Order: sequence, then structure tokens, then C-alpha cells
Amino acid sequence: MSEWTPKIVAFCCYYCAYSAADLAGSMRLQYPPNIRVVELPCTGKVDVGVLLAALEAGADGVYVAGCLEGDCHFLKGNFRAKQRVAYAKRLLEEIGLEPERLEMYNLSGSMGPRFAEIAQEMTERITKLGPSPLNRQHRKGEVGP
Amino acid sequence: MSRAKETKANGSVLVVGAGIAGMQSALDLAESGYLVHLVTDEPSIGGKMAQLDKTFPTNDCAMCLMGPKMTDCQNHPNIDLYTMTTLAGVEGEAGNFKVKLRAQPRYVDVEECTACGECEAVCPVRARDEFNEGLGERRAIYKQFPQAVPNAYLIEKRGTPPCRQTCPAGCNAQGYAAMIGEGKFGDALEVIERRIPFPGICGRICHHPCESECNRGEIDEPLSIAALKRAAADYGWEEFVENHPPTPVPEGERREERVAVIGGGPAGLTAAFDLVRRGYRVTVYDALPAPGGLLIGGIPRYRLPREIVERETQYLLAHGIEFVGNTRVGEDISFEEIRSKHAAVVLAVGLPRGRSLPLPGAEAEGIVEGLAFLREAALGGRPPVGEKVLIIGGGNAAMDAARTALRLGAAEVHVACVEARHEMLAHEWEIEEALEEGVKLHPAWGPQEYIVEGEKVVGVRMQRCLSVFDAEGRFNPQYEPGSDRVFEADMVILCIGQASELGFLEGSGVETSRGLIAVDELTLATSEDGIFACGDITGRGASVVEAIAGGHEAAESVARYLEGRDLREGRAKEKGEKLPPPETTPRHPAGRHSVRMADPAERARDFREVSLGFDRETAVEEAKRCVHCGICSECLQCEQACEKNALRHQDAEREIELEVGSIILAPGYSLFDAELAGEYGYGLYRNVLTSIEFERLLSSSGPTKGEVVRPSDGAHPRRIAFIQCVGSRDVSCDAEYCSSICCMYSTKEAVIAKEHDPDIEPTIFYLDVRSYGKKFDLYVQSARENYGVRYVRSMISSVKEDPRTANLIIRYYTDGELREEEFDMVVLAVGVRPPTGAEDLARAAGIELNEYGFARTDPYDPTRTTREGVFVAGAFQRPQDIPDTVMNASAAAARASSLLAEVRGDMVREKSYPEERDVSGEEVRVGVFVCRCGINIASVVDVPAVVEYARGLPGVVHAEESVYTCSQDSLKKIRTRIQEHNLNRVVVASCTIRTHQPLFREALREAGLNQFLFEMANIRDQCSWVHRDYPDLATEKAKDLVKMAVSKVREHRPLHLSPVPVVQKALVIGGGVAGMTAALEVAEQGYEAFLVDRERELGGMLRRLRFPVEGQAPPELLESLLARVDANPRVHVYTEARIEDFSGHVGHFQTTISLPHGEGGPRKLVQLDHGVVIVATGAPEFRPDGHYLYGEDPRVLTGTELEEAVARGDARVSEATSVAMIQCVGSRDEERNYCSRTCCTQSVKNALELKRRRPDMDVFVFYRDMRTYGFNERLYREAREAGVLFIQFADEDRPRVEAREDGLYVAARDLLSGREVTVRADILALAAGAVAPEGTAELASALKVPVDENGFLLETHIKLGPMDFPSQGIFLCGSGHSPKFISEAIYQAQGAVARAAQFLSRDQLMVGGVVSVVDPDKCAACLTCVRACPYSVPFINDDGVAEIEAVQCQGCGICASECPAKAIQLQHYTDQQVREKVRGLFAEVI
Repeated sequence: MSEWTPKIVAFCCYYCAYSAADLAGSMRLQYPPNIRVVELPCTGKVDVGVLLAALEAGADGVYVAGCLEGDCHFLKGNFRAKQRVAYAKRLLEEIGLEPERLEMYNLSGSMGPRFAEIAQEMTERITKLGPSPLNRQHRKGEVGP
Repeated sequence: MSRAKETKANGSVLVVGAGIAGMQSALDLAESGYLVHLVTDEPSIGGKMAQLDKTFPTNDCAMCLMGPKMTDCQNHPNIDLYTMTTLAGVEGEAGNFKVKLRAQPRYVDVEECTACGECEAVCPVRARDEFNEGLGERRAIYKQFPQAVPNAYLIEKRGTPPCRQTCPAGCNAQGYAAMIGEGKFGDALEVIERRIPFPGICGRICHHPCESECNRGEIDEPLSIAALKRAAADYGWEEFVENHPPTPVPEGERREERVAVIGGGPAGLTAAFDLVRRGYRVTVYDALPAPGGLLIGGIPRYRLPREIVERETQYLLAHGIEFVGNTRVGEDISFEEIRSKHAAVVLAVGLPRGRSLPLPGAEAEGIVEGLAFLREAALGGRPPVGEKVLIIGGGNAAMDAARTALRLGAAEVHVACVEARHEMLAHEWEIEEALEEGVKLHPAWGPQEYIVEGEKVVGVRMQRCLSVFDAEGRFNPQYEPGSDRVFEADMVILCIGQASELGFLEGSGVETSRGLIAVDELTLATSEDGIFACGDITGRGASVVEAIAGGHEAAESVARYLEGRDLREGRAKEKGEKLPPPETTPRHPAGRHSVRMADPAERARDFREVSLGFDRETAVEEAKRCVHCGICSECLQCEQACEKNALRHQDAEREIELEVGSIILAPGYSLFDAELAGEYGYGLYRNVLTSIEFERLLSSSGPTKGEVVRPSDGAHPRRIAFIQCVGSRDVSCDAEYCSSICCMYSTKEAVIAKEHDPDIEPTIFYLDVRSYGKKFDLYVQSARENYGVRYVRSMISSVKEDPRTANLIIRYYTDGELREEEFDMVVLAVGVRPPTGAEDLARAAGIELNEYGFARTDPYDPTRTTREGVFVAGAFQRPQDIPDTVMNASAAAARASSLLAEVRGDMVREKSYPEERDVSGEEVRVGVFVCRCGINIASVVDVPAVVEYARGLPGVVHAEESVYTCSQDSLKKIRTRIQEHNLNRVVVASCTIRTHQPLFREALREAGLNQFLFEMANIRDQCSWVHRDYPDLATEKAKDLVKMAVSKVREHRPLHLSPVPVVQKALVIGGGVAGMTAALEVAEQGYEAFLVDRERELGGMLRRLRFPVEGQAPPELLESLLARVDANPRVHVYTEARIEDFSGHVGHFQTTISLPHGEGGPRKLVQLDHGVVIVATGAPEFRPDGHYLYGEDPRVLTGTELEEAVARGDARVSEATSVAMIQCVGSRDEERNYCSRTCCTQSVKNALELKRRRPDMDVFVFYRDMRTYGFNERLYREAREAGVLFIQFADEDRPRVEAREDGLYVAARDLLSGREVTVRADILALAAGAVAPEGTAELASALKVPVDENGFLLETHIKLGPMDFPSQGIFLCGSGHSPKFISEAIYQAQGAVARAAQFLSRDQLMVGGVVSVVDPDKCAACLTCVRACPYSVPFINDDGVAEIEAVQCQGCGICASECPAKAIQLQHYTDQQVREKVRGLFAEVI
């Protein structure tokens, strides 16, 4: 399936990353159309379960984008997220899935260009890795009718 | 207050200025029961802070901090926003003001604009982007900055450009030049046609007065405006006609009235065209066979080709004008007949006859009348010409006749006229062209007699003309006697003027005067009702463009006449001042392009057109030379691009009158104009920037997207110098004061620059590092140590540019020597100035300014101005940083609010909603609304496909698209669909939840649905805008986003807010100046306060201060505060009190205090119930035992002890001849790594007091950085002038003190001179800092509020939450927050009350919604949530399980994610809901 392009889920906190995505929009910064944003009040709400659930459901890549460290609207939610992402990466390694499929990013709400850059980075990274083995839709495509 | 009681006060407040101060005041007031009118002269709220990249000392992004506040201001039901509006006047008195506002037009309807940017994309005008400090460009239509609120565009208009102002017909030359500059010739033609129905004609023969006025002429040469007009007609005609086909007004829309126009020249045709387009039935009568008048029967074809005239006149006629040619009124049809058949008549008959010259021999053959000659030739005939032709006359007609005669075969053509060469009436270019073609010119010759042989003329006898006009200006030529000369000629053509033929008017009643029709100047009405005149026959129409102007006016009059409207109203035109060229538009470098002409020798042979016009490319280049004097060119491209019809080009300034109870002025500040400090080369050297310019360079939404580059060459600078105090602490710059913020912002800019580019080496040249605020010193230390920012204490001698490299060489004086160093870039820390227009504002508001131009305020009521009821917030009070601004903005809100306490709630808007539908038993029924956003989404995403896709999603029962889902009609449609389809879930796929979710949730509520049964998919900001090049993938993504939203919304449950009652009382902990102020302020707001202090007496640190920094002496303040507290029945004082227990939540806390009860007996317990807590614990002076012999030698005192000793006349001090002071004792050291903020000023104040009492006393101050920030800088100057000696020592090289019999010897190395200094002092005063009081940690632990590493209480956010704790309902103020002055403690205390009032002012709080909820059955009481919550909200309740009070929960969900048993769920973001959203993405849809 040469046409494969990754599907990447981005868990974005409302206060910074979601705002940065909006800003990227109003600045008309172009980035690859692979990112699907799930907005949360704080990246502190992201738990390991939902990260794994996203991968299990078929996401080729997942990232969490929160406020800059020290700038969390809820004081320290992004530190929690950082720890959980690190933990989930270890789990991925254990089950033999590339931990690079998961990442944590920090950016401020005025960093529209950075949002676009992250989307680009992540798309390139996951494209290199290829489809996730858990991506059923893709597997189906490979097997063919 | 007393007056307010006589007539009922008004419960609304005007806030002027919408920066961080104005927004804070507005939000505090709106949240506590007042209606707020928030006014800003800018297009967006946000103020200066919006321009900042990061903020110190946390490096937070400024926009991130502010964004939510901006949105809150916009969405708050009790805040009305007025942008681009200024305060014009205030009448009335406190409680009942009448204010007048002046609103400048935006030209864009804020309500309609969706900020899609389509207008911007087509706008042809570029201008300086002020928001980016001129480092970038924007269009004439623009949004101030990407995150602007309101999120809407505006247009900059400066006025009418001179070209347009000068044009008799008012043609918008700037507009069509702008279009041609973009290569849009058809659109250019459209702009011209609005006023000039003959573009190709005018482009050729207009005398273009516009060009002489063109401002480009001041730079080099005027724009070739006329030639551009021709280019528009040459290259844009087909496109124009295609876009604007000449179609008559449909019969159904036509009016019944018939109008006759007599004369089909440019004036008559213009009038006819205007009228026919208005729906009138118009007939044009003309003697010539075709329309055009002089255009076809006068102007030679080599100047104006016949086909151009035909093309343009036919286009006009095709709009439905009836043309009756070959009809001479008075001969072929009587005027009476015309009059009887038409409701109105326009006379545009022109001057069809040439004048004759009644000299002897005038009857001879060969003498012809010029006009007839030209007419015959122009109509295509070939009138006979002689061999040698003499033209008499010096006007344009003479030139035309001469050149026509040449073309008809005359061998020699001479022109003679009475006027001297420079007086000739013909346009210079006409004369030049004639000369080029070989015409011989004889100026200043007047005819005396025709020489006739037989019947034929053979010559004219002429005389030298000495003068043409007499002293009265009448035509009265004087000749030189005896200068006679015969000009031989076999043909004489007379071009000496034109005359009318008005015989047909005889008996009509239309008055004439000197052969012209007498008309009203303004309306062009004749003496007869319903008859109007225009063009040459009125004496105002000598040129085509004037004729056109008259035609428009006549048509307007006819229409008004027939519609029964006033003929005159609004028509008087005042010609305003000429608009100078703008400084803000970029200038195209090219010089004027000349129009190509045919070769003179070739062209004189026939009637082919002589001017070849511009080619397309030259026209575009020439058009780009326009400097866009009006900024907006009014080309109206934006109007065509806007799908929402949001443009309002006709908008004008408006006056608004409001009634308010109180006024807060928060206009902010302006920055010093660095060009005024010439020594730094700003404006001269390209790589010298101001700090605010540099800030924009750092900003990721700035002109370079955050890349630090040099303006001169775009290179990355390595060595960057920051120069401090530019326009601050400088009497020569008219700013004696310290700007308070520059040391910190320069440090921040240096740090952030380094973060952007690690190769940057920043150096800060400073006098004193004034990092006096909370955590500021740490920040500077980190800049030095972690970022390698170099600080050089120095005086700058000069900055010079190396012209080869554009590098800058700084010469500076430091350590006793002059040094020189080279930098790649220099950033000037420009100082704070009063806000622009401060004087006008002060006048309008009726307040006084201080000597520096800031608002005059009361030191002990710092937001109070000289007018009762008018308060000031933010930097208009004095230069200050953001935390201080927030504090006193809240303080101003408190003061305004207590003034109006009795009418609190009067003006607030309460909205009622239909009863909520219970959807619990229903199956899921989702409605999906997909927005096209005009073309913003639809041009990339296939919206119908998304709608179709949505229809197939599980649970979806309805899906549709709309052009703008946020428009009122679409919102109404959503409500209707909810009813029609019995929807119980709604998804809108459009833009961002940040701006639009509240709007749609509101629609749900109005339709009786719970607002949480809603979800948005952002298919614009996250999709169409950012994937423009991949429409297919963008459509796929949009489908996915809709699918995800539908998946989540299916799981949504209604959430309800429930009321929690509020005990409307406050507990104030600490009875110093802050605590007493807070308690009194609570009381003035109308609520009770419990004022609790552990000491026996109230007063705190205030008891120990004696001398004021400004204003009243502290003991007087203490006395008045104590008296007010004592007298106020709402303040309950508990001294010697201890807090024993504290529990509860915002709205209802319970505090148990113990009080002494008899001698040695057990303490009495008292329980206090209150809704809020204000912590005002203060900070005592540090006891410097062990420092510099303190406690060992009685001659060593602290600063405060010295103050007390001086005040009580202690002999040790009054008899001393020498006093030394050492700063920073117990501050800024390893143990207490912070600045105590007040000690520098206290020492200076004490030194001045000593000098005042005993001028011969020697006073020495040993210091590190003299931190007399703000207006206190004046005391520092006064002290130096009074002879106080200041000796600066290095941080690591502290002074040494030795006690001897005859005194204390203080020795230190003076930094500036580098020399060792030793002084003898009778008294040594140690500026001992402030420390957090004992017991702070215990108190903080009881209240569950944080403290910092120095023991001071730690607020939610240093920048924007300086009075708030993370725990709701608990606030802080005074020196317990960080050391501060009395005035600062006062405004922070008042501010804390304003923050508390948002709870105190309600009898109940609505809580719930997006909060965490514990399932007690699952909870194992493991305490994970208790530890994880950043707000310490969860606790283990009596049942042994975790409990989270909805009223305290902030809704972050951290606990829910940490809970190992999954016993906690964050509502609206439950695990199930979030996972469904993710799974939904990958679910297959059949």
C-alpha cells in the first residue's frame, strides 16, 4: 500500500497546545494533514491507558502536547504527563512496539510555528517507522480482498 | 458617597483602556455585580502586553497568560467592549457620571467579520505594521495581531488623497493606481467608472489637475495618473465590460418619470447615465448625429480616436438611454414640447459657436471660425486649408486647429496670440507637441487688421502686445505703438473663444446671464422649476472632467427634485486640508515613466493617435509608485472578497453617551522615542533597535517568526548589547524617574535571545540592576550564571556604526577607564512615558496630572485621582511591572465598587432559559452542523461530502451545512433543528472551541438542551487553513474530526451546576496596614470582616515608620486607619488571637480562633464563619545580629531603628557628625536570596532627613545597586545634591567595619573609581531587609496555601495572580507576599478585596460541571489523589474515602489520571468519553 500515510493522535491541552494549533491556523502555516487533535483541559488528564488505547485502536503515532515546563495552567499537570509518557514508552518497548511512536512535547500558546513543526517532525518520524503493526485498517489493505 | 445617596447611583463602571490593567479591573467588576463598559482606542484589547513575547521572571508566554482574560472580557455578559473609542468628556459627579465617547470607524462590522482574511489577501495597499513596530508590513485592511479580540479586521483610512480631492469629478486615482499596481486593469476600470464614465477619453484628454497635487511629486515626480487611466481603459476594457455588461434597469424597477437631457456632450451624457442607472427614463437630444458633443465634434482624432469615443458613449447608451440625434432644439423640436413631455430637463448644450474678430476686413474669404473648422475635421471631413495658415488664439483649440491644419496639408502653420508665452492658456504639453510637429509660435502679438487682396485674406497686421489684462483683471490688451508687422497667410483660423446659442430658451423663463445659463452654485438649478443645467453652458465645465462633475451634480439634483427630497442637504463640500504623504507606506524606488509618443515627423501627416500610452508592464511599474496617501485606496476589492458583507466603507466617527457610576482610567503607557537620545544612533544605524522592536523579533508570531536577525543584512547577530536607562533617570530626556521595568525586561530579552540562539552573547550596560520584585534577583542571577548574560556597570559615551559591516562600536566608561567594544546589534532599553494623549484624557476626565505627566494620585489611596469617583489603574499611575499593574487594577475595581456598593447588581444582565429537557431516557440523536465559513473551509474541504459522511455515522439523525454557522440565522436554525428532529446531542464542525464553543452552548441552552450535550470539530484552524494544498486529505481529516466528535458526544451526559450558599463575610489575617486596609475595604463593599492579629495592638510594621516617602507621615496614617477600623461597625477586631483550626471551602470556611481569657486562664475559643480569607501577615524587619557589630556595639542600628531614633530626637543621632549606612544587610545574600525592595529608599529617605536636620552632617551610603525605582529616583537625586555620598561596593566584596573609641570605621572598595574608601561614622545604620514573620509556615499549612523558599506566601501566578492562591476563596496581600512600600501594600490589599468580592457579592456559588467526581465504591483511600492535586482539594472524608468538593475543584483531571483504582472521573472528559473519541477515529463506518 504505497499510499499509506500515518494517522497520528495528538492529545493537546486546551491552554497551550490547542491555542498554538489555532494560531498556526490563523497564521496559515501549512503542515501535514496527518494529525488528529484530541483536546483535554490539561495534559495532566492524559493517562497511560488512553495513550495505549490510541495505539491499540490503530494510531500509527501518538503525542502529548502541553504547556512549557513551569507554565502549566494547572501548575504541574504537564510534569505528570511527562512522567506518564515516559512510562508508557517503556511499556511499548517491553511489548516490542517502537517507543518512538509516542512522544511528549511542550510549547506555549503563542508558538504556532512550533505546533506546525511538531506535526511535521512527528509525521516524518512515523512515516519512517512505517505503519503500526496494530493498524488494522492498514493490515487489511495489505492482505487485500 | 454622600452625594451618591441623594440620587440613586448608577451600577455601571466605565473602564478606559483595555490592556492588562483595564481587563483586570473590568473582569473584577463584572464578576462582582457591575456592568462594565470597557473602552480602548486600539482595534483589539490586550494593550502592550500583547506585544510582548515572554514575561519575567517566569518566562511565561505573554499571550498565553493574557489570552484567556481577553476571551473572558469578550464573552462576559456584563462587559461591553468598545474598540477604537476614546473618552471625550465626563459630566456629573461620583455615582452619576454622564460620559461621552468618541468611536472611530473600523469600516468592518465586528459582529459580521469572521476574520477569514479573504479581504486582506486582495488588499493592494501595504503599510507599516505598527504592532510589529514597523519591522513588517501589513495591508490597509488588517487584523491588529493574530490573537486579536474582537477577532475582526479593520481598515486604516487617513483621509481623501490629494489626487481624488483635486479631481473635479472626485475620481479615486489612488484606487485605480492600486489596482493597476496589482495588474488588475479591469478592476481599475471599475474604480474609474464609479466617477468617470469616459475613462479612455479622460485618460487621453483630461488636463489632470490631480497630477500637480500628487504627493509623489514631493519625493521625485508626480504619478502619471492620466496615463494610468488610459492604461486601465486600454487593457481592462474587455474584462470590465464582461464583468459589468451594460444592462438597462429592468422594466419592473424603472421609474415612471421621464427626463430630457439637451446636449449629448460629456456633461449631458454623465447626467443621463446617472439618471438612467437610478431607473429614470432618459432621452438625450443632440444636434450631432452621434453622442459625444465636443468629443466627436471638437477634439481632433489624433488626440482622441473616434473609436474610443464610440466605445465609451455606446456603453453608456446601452444602459437604456434614448439618444435622439440630428435634432436641434428650437429648430427641429421646440423647448416647450420637450418640457411638456418630461418631468425634468437638464440643459447641457455647451458653447457650440466660435467667436469672431470684428476687425477691418473680417468679411474676406479665407477667414474661418476655428470651432467649425475643428468640428468638420473631427467628424471626418477634410475642410480645405491654405498653404500658409495663421491661427489666432493661444488656447488648446488654437493648438488643435494648428495641428489639424498641418495634417490637412498646410505647408506652414503659425499661431499668434496676445498672451506672452508663459501666459498662454493652452496646456504646456499641447504647445510642446505642436512645436515638435513644426508649428510656429508667435506669442504676444495682437491682430489689428486683416490684409485683404481682392476678396481673399493675405495676411494680418499685428502689433506687439505689452499686456493682456488691465489692473481690474479685465481683458484689455495694450499694444506697443509702431511695432506693426504683417503676418502673411492665405488662411486665418480664429480660435479666440466660444459662445452660446440659447435662442431656444426665449420665453421659457430660464434666466441667462452674459450668454450663459444662470444656475445655483450648489444644485445647478435654473430659475425654472425642474430645469437644471450643467457643463460649459453654466460657465463651469471648461474641461471634460469638470463637465462630468457638473453632470453628476445635475443628475443628483434631478433625482432629489423628482423624489421630493431637499436639493441642498449635505451637498455643501468643504475642501479640507491637503493630505500630506503618509510615512507608513513603503515607497517604490522607480522614477516617473514617460508615455511613448509617435515620431513627430511621422505623426503630423495623418490623424492617427499621437500618444501611444503605457505598455502593461510600464503601467504596473508606474502605478506602484503611488504612495497611497489615504492608506485605504477604497478600491473596494475587500467588499467583493467578503462573503459576509461585513465591509462598511461609509462608516464615520460616532459619539456615544453613557451613564456610569464610576470611572477607571487604565490607558497604560507609551515608550520613550529613542530618536530623542541621539547619542545612541537610533533611526540612523540600522542595527540599533528599541527593546520593544527586539521583543517583536523574539516573538514567534512576530515579523521573523522568532528568528533574531539584523535589520541591515538579515544575519544572525552574535554580540548583542543592551543599553539601559534610555530615556529614564535622565533629566535631559525630561524623565528624572526610573522606568521600573527595563532592567528586568532587558534581562529577559537577553535570556530569551540566548534560548533562541545559543551563539548569542548578550551584554547589558547598566547603572544599577533594579531587580527589586519578587523572584527578580533570582532571575538576574540565573541570567548571569545559567545563560552567561554579561552585566557591565558603565556610562555609555557613544555608539558609532562601522559603515562597512553595520556593526556598532560602543565606547563606555567603567572601572575608572574608557573602553571600546564592537557589537553586531544594540538594543536600547527605552523608558516608560505617560500614555499617548494623557493630557487629552486628563482633560476629558477632569483629573490632574503630576509633574511627570502621569495621573496625580493619593499615596495612601493609590488609585484615587483628584476627581471623586474617577480612579486610575496600571502604569498611568506610575511606571510599574505587570504584577503591580494587576494589583492596582484590582484595587481600582475595589474602590469603584465600594463607591457603588449600594447599587451592586442593579445593572447586571440576567438571562432566562427555557426549562431543560430531560434526555436521560432517550436514544442518542445527534445533529451535525458543518460550516463552510464562507470559503474558508469550503474552498479546501469538500463540505457536502463531510455532511454526507456525517449522515452515515452511528447516532446521527440529522446533518446539514451552512455558510456561517455562527451567524444569528444559523444559530436560530440549530435551535429549530433541535426541536424538529428532537435532537439530544449536537456537533458543530467549524472553528475553534476557544472562541465559539460558548456561542453554540448558548444556542443549546436556548433550545432547552443541556449545554454539555455538545461537541465541536475544528475543521478550519486545524484543517482547511493548514492543509490548503491537500484538499482530498483535508476532506478526509475533516471527516475524521467529525467522526471523533460524534463518537464523543454520544457519551456526553448533562452536567448541572448546583448552588452552594455563601457566607458573605471575610476573614482578614494580619492587622498591619494591608490587613486594616483590606478589612475596611470589605466593610465598604458592604460586608463584614473579621480582622485577626496575634499582636496586642493593630498596626504591624506601620507602627515603626516615621518619615514618609511621599505624602502624609506614617504615624498619621496609622492613627487614621485605627480610628476608621474602630468606628466601622462591620469590622470586628480580634487581637492577641491565634488560629486554632481552619476548614471548609470557598463560600463557607470555618475558622476557630483562640483569644486570651483572663490572667493565665485557658484561652477562649471563637468560631468564625466566613466565605473568603484574606491573608495579610506582613514582614518585619530582619534583626541583623552578628552582622557588622549589630547587637555588640550600641552605635550600630538598623535602618528602622535609625528612623525611630531620628524621630524621637535621640542624642546619639542628633549629636552625630557622621552617619554611615550599609545596604543589603540580610537581603540578597545566600541565606535570604531576595531583594527587600524598600531599604534603598528608606536609607535615602533617612539620609535626607538627617541632612535636613543637620546639613553639615556627613552621610555615607554603602550600596550594591541603588534601587530607588519609579518616582523615588527623585529622592536619590535630592540626596546626592544634598551632599550624601554614595559608595558602591561589589557583591562579593562587602564593607568592613571596625569599632574604635572615636567612632566606627567603614571601609570598602568603591566600584566606579576602583579606589579603597574608609569613613568614620558616629552611627552605623544597617539596611536590614524584611523577612517573613515567624509562624508563616504553620499558617500556610493550616490554610493549605504554598510558601516560597524564603518563607513568603506564594501566589497562584507571579504575573497575573498576585493576590490569588491556588485554593479558591483565599487571597493574599501586603508584605507577607513580598516586601513592599505602604502604598503598594494598600493597593494590594484593596485589590485582594476586589478578588474576594467575586465570591462575597453572591449569595450562592454555582459549582460543578467539568469537575472530578469520586466513586466511593472504588476508592481505596490510597491518598494518591490527595498528593497529586496541585490545589490540595481531595481529602479523606469521615467515610474513609476520598472526597472532592466541586466548589474547589479546578477541573484539570490530574487526580483522575493518577487514581490507581480509576475511582475518579473528570466529568465531560471521562475515560470512556476520551477513549470513545480516540476509538471513533479508527472505527469503520459502513
